[in-house]
Amino acid sequence: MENEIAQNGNMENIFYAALALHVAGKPINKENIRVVLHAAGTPVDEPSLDIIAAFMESLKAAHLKNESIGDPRIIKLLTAALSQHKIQVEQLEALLVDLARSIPPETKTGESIPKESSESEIRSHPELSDERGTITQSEAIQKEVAGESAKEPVLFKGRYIYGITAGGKEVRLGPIGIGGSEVYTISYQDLGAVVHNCPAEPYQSLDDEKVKGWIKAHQNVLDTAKEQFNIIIPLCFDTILKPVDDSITPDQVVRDWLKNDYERFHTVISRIEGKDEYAIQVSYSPSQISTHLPEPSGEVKTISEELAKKSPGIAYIYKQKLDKAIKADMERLADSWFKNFYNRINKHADSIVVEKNRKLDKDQVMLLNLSCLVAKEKVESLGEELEIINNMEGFSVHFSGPWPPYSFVAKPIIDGGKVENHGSH
Amino acid sequence: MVIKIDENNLKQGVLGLVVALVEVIRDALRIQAIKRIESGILTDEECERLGKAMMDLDIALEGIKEEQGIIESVQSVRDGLDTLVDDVIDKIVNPERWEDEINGK
Repeated sequence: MENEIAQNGNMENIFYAALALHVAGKPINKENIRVVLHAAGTPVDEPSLDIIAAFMESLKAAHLKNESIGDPRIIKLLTAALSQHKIQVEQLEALLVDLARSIPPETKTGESIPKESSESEIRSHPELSDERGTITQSEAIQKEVAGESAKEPVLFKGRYIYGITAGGKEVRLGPIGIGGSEVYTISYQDLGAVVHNCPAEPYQSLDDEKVKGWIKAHQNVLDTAKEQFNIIIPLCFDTILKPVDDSITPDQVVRDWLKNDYERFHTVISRIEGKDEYAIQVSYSPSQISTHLPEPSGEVKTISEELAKKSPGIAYIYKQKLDKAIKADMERLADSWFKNFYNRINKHADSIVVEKNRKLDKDQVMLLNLSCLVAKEKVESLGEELEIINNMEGFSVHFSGPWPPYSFVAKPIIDGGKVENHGSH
Repeated sequence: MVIKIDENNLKQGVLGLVVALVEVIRDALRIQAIKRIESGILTDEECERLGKAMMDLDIALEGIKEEQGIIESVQSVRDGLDTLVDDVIDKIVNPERWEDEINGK
């Protein structure tokens, strides 16, 4: 039983080693896999190795063409698996770089690497390569530096930006990002961008549930960052920065972006500091607001009187005019309510953005749709005011928040690095 | 605006669309009729005939909608049209919203 379990784990490790070699563009054969596994400090299971070798050779025979390296799906799977096993990816990267240097490219006869270079690999990574037989996987995990989680490989050229914080410390927030990615900050002076490394293309999917999950993760990161830093300028979902060419690193692109808009970011921060966005919608039910209606206007009265006197055809026409007059009255009334409520709400809010009124079901009409920037101290008094309005007969108030102040943060201006901003909401 | 039509609700879809359009035309006629009547150009008898004709049209349309069970579809077509027109007018009144749309906001 123990043997079986060990073999399953080993097969997995061998597979990951094979993937790593594939990504590095090195031939996948027994010798190379042994080198990688030794470096990672996991035991090598010869029978499993034989199986993989046979598989690779048969694959090679079938596909003589060169497949593209760096397939993002493989990279993603690899890094996810590696970060799960908490193997130091930096060290694995370094290993791959060294492999690239010491292992000659595949020869015509497909010979394995000379024994000397594999030994030198092992010597140059003393932390990872330990006494062969005794080291088990759990020990390898414990050996790695406590506290620091694995860093995403430099293979990902994009930086997905969640938002901007004040505070220049570079901090790790853990694997809370989209797809379980490690979230951390990149700083320029006293501004920080909350990011995770990603392929340089936007997140897209036809699967609604998947996209919902991504958006939840995005929101979750913003909430966590807010707790940690107190202030965060939120950015839209799917804002990704990538370098236009290889002359600049992705991290530098982010730093440059922070530098270029430094003033503006600080202006926005001081505007939203200590305030949250709240959404307020006031609607009324036409059938129930009769108590608030004033006496019918003069025009309506006259028409009603005339109506009584006329013959059917003319009466019909007058009825139409009556309906029109009543409608005009209602609109004037709604207008005055709007102004009244708006002014009352305005006393408690810092800024207000008026949104479009949505169409509601059946007997409800939306009167007011506002996004408000409210200081923490004023939220309670705003709530009380809204309670009063809600209690008016026939009116109902929908009050939600706090939200990140999306409506009060203008669109980012980008120079230098390229931004992919897909407003998929 | 998407009009969803399949074999099952073809009648709903096509009939709903047709009646919705008839209602829009009727509304336009109504405005014209009221204008003519108020202008005093028509005689009393003509006014009466016009009014009665419009009323009969209304009753007929209500009857058709009820019989064919398309009251809901007609309403939804009209709501869709309303939203569309609303959108266009909103963009005319607020040019910056038009600009945002072009820039892919």
